[in-house]
Amino acid sequence: MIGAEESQRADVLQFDRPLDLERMRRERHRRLIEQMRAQDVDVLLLASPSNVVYATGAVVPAADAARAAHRRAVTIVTADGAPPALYMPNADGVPAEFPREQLCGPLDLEWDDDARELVSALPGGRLAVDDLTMPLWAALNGREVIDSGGVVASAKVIKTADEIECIRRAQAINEAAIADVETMARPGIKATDLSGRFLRKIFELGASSNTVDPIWQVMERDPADRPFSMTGDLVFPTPTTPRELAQDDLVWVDNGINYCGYQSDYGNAWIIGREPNAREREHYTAWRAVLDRVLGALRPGASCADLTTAAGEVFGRRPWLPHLYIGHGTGTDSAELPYVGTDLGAEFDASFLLAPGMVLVLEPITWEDGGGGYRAEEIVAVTADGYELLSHVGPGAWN
Amino acid sequence: MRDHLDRLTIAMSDADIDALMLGRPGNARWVSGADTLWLSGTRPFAPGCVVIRRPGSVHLLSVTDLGVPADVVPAGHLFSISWNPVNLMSALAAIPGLGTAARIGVDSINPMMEQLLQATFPQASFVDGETLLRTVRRVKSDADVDGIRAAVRLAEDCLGAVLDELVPGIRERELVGVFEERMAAGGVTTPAFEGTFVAADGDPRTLVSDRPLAAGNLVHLRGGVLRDGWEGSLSRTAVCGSDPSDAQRAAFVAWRAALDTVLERCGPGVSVKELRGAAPGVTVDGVGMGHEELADSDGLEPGMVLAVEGLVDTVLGSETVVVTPSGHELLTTHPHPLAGA
Repeated sequence: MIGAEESQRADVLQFDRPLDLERMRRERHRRLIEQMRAQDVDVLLLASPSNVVYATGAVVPAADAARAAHRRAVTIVTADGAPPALYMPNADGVPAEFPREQLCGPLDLEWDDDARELVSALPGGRLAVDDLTMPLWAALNGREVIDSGGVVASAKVIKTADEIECIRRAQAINEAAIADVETMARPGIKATDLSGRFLRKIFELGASSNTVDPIWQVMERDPADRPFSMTGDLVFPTPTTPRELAQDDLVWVDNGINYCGYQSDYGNAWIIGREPNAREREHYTAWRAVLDRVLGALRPGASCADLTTAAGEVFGRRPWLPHLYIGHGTGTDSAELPYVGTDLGAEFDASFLLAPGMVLVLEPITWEDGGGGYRAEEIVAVTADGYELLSHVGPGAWN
Repeated sequence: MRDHLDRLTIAMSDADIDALMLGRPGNARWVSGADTLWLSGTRPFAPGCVVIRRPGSVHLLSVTDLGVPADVVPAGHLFSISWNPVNLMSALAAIPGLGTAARIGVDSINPMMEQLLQATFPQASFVDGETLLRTVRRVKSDADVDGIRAAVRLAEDCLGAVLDELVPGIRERELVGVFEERMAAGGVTTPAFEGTFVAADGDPRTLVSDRPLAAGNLVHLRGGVLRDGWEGSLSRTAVCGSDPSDAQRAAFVAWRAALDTVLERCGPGVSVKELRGAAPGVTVDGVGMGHEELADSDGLEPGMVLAVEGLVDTVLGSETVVVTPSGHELLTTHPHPLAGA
């Protein structure tokens, strides 16, 4: 049996900073209403879990997409500021203060009857929606609808102090679970066994849910060994398989868990069975330099292009994966505004200015064909005069 | 998986649909066989998998061919992930056959995608593709049933691990971790849903809490896995740390009677509505690559797989069955902890 060291059962993680969930819900609703009024939207119909939890605090069990679509919470938010209507499959996911008269039974929007019932409950006015099942699309019967993305993303992008505390706690749980898992990451262990320990730990520590298949991907140093890539660059991330980790393997770790609706995002790199060698430490040092340059540019009023410019080039390449980004926002969605360095392009990056309350996951990479490279993630909240770190990945063995 | 594509293109022909744009992970995996990264929850529609009826080709949104079966999605049929709708539309426009498709089916939609797609494919009308997928996915091949059978076996093993650790003092939430740790030991890291492992002494709950379970608590246990994309799931009720009381055994007898009432009727020619109405507290849903929707008007056919779950009195429990030519076969075999010895 690999990983013979027995894991100690962990206690629920305790936190010393205040968190007021009721205040958080109240302030989020207010932000949504402000954006609806600013963008001339009268009615908001939301059916994606990450949007419903933002608008109402309602929680449904984490599930794969098919079951999540079948048992979804649905909300109607109106610009007059009245409490939203909430259609809920599980009463135990409704916040305690939510007004009972606004609570309705579950709808299965995969079917015409329920879709028509929902549409008949919609007030008049300019309507924005996030996700339309085929029956809901049909039931709207040509009524003009706009995408809710503008309103919802604009509300979400600035976090309240309570939202930032949720992200901090999610990340603390993730990091505490990783500290346990890392002791198992030795030659001979299966990647899926690391997932097993990780999943066990996050629930012991008090995670609300897991949100992505935990990733422990072996990165092939030699380009000839790498899988085909549409971009010609590294392929990452890929689903975890029961592959056994071997001596010298370079493993890139990427995990996300949820706490009270908010995402964490943990990234790090491990060398299996030994300390990083001198060349590998250079990959880390170069990565640290990229991160420090980006952090140096990170302040209110800076644009996302200022961050990509500060990142520069390392080992003759941009220090991030071309199909992803060097940074992204996080909140009730694992990736949300701001996006930094995506194929939305340099103009988009230049037009997007940072402001206090924005949260960024920075995930540069350094890579040298044949030698490997380093990737980790740090989460920062933009403050009035700079930034505050919400993660504590640390250099570990790399420094 | 090639047989799925063959069945789908025939169904597309019958429905006069020239192309499909699928955003739902279960649909995309069912036709392509591709293993993509599991994420919890739904996401707004984006065309992750495109099927062209003639010549029966499948195109997949993926940066790599790793985990993508080449007999269904050959090299050159990948299109790249993009954050930029303009780039995504260019990639779609380059797929042979989409630019001339008159009727394109989608499995969901949102206003932004509707606008972009109609501008990119002005010749096409966009129609319901979800009903088509739901219908063609409903009847399973023997190989599909074997996939579900293997997933059920793993889910039962995971539930067994939960029962082993169902001791006074353990917190409800920890049991989710117990279930999923065993799932990963079985080589699978994707749950069908995060489990319900809760004390059943008040209103029914689905969300776990940090409450420690006490000796004598009646506990609802429900968990599920996605193994190679196929769902295996089950629910049971057990007592924490002691033998069931007479009242708990009596409640189980009532549950057993309700479930048997439904299962006895379960065979070809019976409608879903008849099953759903056969006993109060019992639900009937489809099982395949995750949850599958069944309409009341659907008739049972051999090869359909059903999850039959009852919440009767205080007892929760389910069975998964495959409809056979002569009736049905139970795919779940895990004993019920409240059943008499």
